[in-house]
Amino acid sequence: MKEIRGITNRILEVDLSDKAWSLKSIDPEDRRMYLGGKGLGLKIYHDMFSGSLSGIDPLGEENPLVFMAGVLTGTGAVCSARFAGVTKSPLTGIMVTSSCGGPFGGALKTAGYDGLVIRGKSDVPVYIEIMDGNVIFHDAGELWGMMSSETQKNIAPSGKDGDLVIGPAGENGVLYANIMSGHRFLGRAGMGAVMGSKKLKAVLVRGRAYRVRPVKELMFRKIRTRASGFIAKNSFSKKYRSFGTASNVLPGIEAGYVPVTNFKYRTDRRFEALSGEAMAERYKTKSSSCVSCSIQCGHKGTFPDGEVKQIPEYETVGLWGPNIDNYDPDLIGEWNLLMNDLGMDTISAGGTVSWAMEAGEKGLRETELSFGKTDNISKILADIAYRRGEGAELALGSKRLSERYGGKEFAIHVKGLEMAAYDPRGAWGQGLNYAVANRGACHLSAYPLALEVLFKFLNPYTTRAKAFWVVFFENFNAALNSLQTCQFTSFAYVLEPFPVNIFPSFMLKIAMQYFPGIAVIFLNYGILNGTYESITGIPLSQRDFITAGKRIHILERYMNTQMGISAKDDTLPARFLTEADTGHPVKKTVDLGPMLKDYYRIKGYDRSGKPDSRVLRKLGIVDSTEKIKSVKPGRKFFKELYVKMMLFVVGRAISAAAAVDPGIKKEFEKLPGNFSFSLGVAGTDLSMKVVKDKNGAVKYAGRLKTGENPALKLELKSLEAAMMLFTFRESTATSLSRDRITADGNIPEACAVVRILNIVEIYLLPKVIAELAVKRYVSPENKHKNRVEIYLKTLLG
Amino acid sequence: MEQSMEAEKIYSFFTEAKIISGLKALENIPFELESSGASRPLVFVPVTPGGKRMKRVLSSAFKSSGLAGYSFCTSIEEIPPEYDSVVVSSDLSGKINKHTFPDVPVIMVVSGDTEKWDFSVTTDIVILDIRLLKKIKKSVFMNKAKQIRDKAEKIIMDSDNPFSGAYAEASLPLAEESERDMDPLKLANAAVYADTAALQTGEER
Repeated sequence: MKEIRGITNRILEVDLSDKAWSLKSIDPEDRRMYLGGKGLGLKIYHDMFSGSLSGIDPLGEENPLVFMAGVLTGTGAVCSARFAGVTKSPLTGIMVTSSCGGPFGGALKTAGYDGLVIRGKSDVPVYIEIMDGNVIFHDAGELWGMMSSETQKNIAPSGKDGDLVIGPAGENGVLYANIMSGHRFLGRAGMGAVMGSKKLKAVLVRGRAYRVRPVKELMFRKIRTRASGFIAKNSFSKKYRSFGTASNVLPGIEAGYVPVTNFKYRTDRRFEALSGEAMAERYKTKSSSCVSCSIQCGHKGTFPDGEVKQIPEYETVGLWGPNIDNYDPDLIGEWNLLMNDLGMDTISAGGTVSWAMEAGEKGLRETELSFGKTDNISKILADIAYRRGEGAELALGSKRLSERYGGKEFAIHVKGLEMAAYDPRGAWGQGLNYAVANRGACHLSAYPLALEVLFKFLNPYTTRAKAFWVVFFENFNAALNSLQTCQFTSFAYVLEPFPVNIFPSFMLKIAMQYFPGIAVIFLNYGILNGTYESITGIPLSQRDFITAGKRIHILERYMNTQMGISAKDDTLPARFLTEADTGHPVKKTVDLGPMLKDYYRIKGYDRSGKPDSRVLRKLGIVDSTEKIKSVKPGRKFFKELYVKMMLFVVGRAISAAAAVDPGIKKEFEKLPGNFSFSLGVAGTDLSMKVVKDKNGAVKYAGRLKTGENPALKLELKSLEAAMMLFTFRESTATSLSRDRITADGNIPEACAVVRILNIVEIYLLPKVIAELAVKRYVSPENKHKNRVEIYLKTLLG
Repeated sequence: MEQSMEAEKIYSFFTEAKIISGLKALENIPFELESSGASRPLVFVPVTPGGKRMKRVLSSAFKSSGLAGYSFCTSIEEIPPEYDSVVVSSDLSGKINKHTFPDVPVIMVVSGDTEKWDFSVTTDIVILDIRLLKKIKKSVFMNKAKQIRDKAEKIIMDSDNPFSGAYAEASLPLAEESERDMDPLKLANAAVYADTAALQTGEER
């Protein structure tokens, strides 16, 4: 089997319109700056449109679907079988990136590609097969209309190949349709609808052509062992392994972050029946997770009808449980399976249905849905997928429906994406996360709820330090999702290594809440950048890792602003800002304003919510969109003043010494009549001029005027050179020999002036200093008497 | 025309750049530009911490200098219309040099951050200032010193050009002293000597 060393840097680009394909390579600089997976996917998408991203129809031919294997994918690294999907969302109208743990990523990588870009649109349903360096376009007429799982059985019965399939929801343009790979999903914001709009039913990659080996194998193995150890002992990982993500139910009831009756309330004891712990007992669950997973949060279990089904995740349980007043786990399991098969996002479907229930209750819209009524849910889900009856409208999502019928205040979405099952009134940092997350109300963008509630490091009801941690984890998760490792590993990778693991919990709490800038210094997530380096051979420090995350996150925001996102979109549904009475003892709403202000400042966004051009330039996202300004050089005022004074003193002293010292007199006698010389500093008006008149008298003549040309012009090349001379760190002779002074005139005359300056310095300075300033110290006759006379004449004129 | 010298005794020697090295060497830039009739340099610095430091030091060096103005840029794509000279960090001199700007004076400022010093690129002036060299890492330092010694020794062994030999021989003790004293300025000088020697032999061409 052939080998790939870490990464291939090859992108397969398939054009459905022309049924053609080609290979593209990844620029090594882009690889360094955007790491891989999500980051590179965004960069590739961005570059396809040359920075002009407005006006792209998400369901049009021009909207590409980008799938990127992660750097870790296929290497056997811990929790690494992931890949990213990137496109413009039909639900939100902005960028959507999604991470999936299905087998597609590993298959793509071992087929020899780091990414797959799908462009154009087919006239008839197709599915594509990628095998042995070839792309085959199959007719998908018979597959069209099939459920997702049925499609998988038809095209990849062995289950060993990497698949991407859509269900009827994707085919029919449900705006929150998903894409399935194995039993995992590119779930959010309607990627399935984009695939359906291209008439692309499925993609099948037959991998295993290459073996992926890290560039630095020893380093890789060492890090993998450490990573497994951290995950094995992390309490969060253990809880997820035993009870899945639904283990978030019990802490949610206490903390008050669970959604009840379309987020009207935020706690309900009846929800305990739907906890991970309760379901583990009821269904005798077993792990059913992604490939290469050490956490194993996914579970399957045997339902009362005897069928083995996937246990729903916390978000599905929350939104299809208390949020519609349903406390029957069997029903949620059944609907979960149905939604997966129909190919739609359980969160957005749940959020839209609960909005419709409340809108019906308030008389805004006629509906067959109502809170607590569960017998028609399966029918309504099928109606949504096939766009029938009321389902045709519900397929549009809660934002569009609330704009059409009213009820915006209880349409629980941000930027059009329905909120996951965490009520931000129970964790304000999570509220900020929802408001600013790039793809809308995404709970995973920074997931500060873990710090606020699950680990209790931060007080959930304060604005303090929230913006800091949201920004940090946005950057962290963006980088982590570009490596395409599972986001759930972050708790183990951040909390288990030294030195954080030796800090008592109370110290971490104080540090994170009150001194976040210091606390962050102690975080050691070298596992992640180390793994990247060991696989690719590209050096990556922890700092580079987080900077790459920042770059990726801000690139996504920058793309969104080109698609129309601005500060007004960074908010929460009115319910969380105005309704404090939620059935929880703490009656508070989210204090979003101060957190947003801090967030914008830290992030470097301007008031309109756009990333500042300096930030974009600094991160290398744009080359230059602003005109470069010419800077006027400043002034060294005190140095100029000092040099000016010294030039004055030296000029006057030469004049005085010429009348007193026989040596200087003799030097001047040798110089021609009307001789003049100047000493100045280049680039400034600092200078002095000394003239010898026709009677032989030597006079200080002040500053050299513009256009004057003395017989000898000595010029110090810079103010610093003048400072060296006049602070006696260099003698005049040394300055000349070091090329700090230029002499314009006769060399013998220049030498005479240097000798004169030396003698003057001996008179002016104490011996200890003068010895430093002159080349050779020769004490003149009557030194002290002459010195007094020179000083008096210099000072008094 | 009849040649009076034998062919094997012919050699040529050329140095393309003026070297200014030492304490406060950067302050010479405005004077050198003025001598070439220039006063508005474009200053290319990389987007790195070293680049930031260079910006700070250069801004200070340009104070009270008589320059009409200067602009900091990070890449060749972002050139403002008004400039009459170029100052470039050695980090970027591979892309920005006399070939890119043939009509204006080009000054290269050597940075300690540059992974590989290359004095064979064409510039008019090379500035070696201790303030920009002192951050050089110890491992990089030792590596560079070794490279210089290897290069110089090879030239001494192979070259028939007496000037090349002289430059290469001069670079050896400097490189050794720089290692002993951990003096980056000596190291940079040794590199200039060795590269100048290599230029004559065609090694850097």
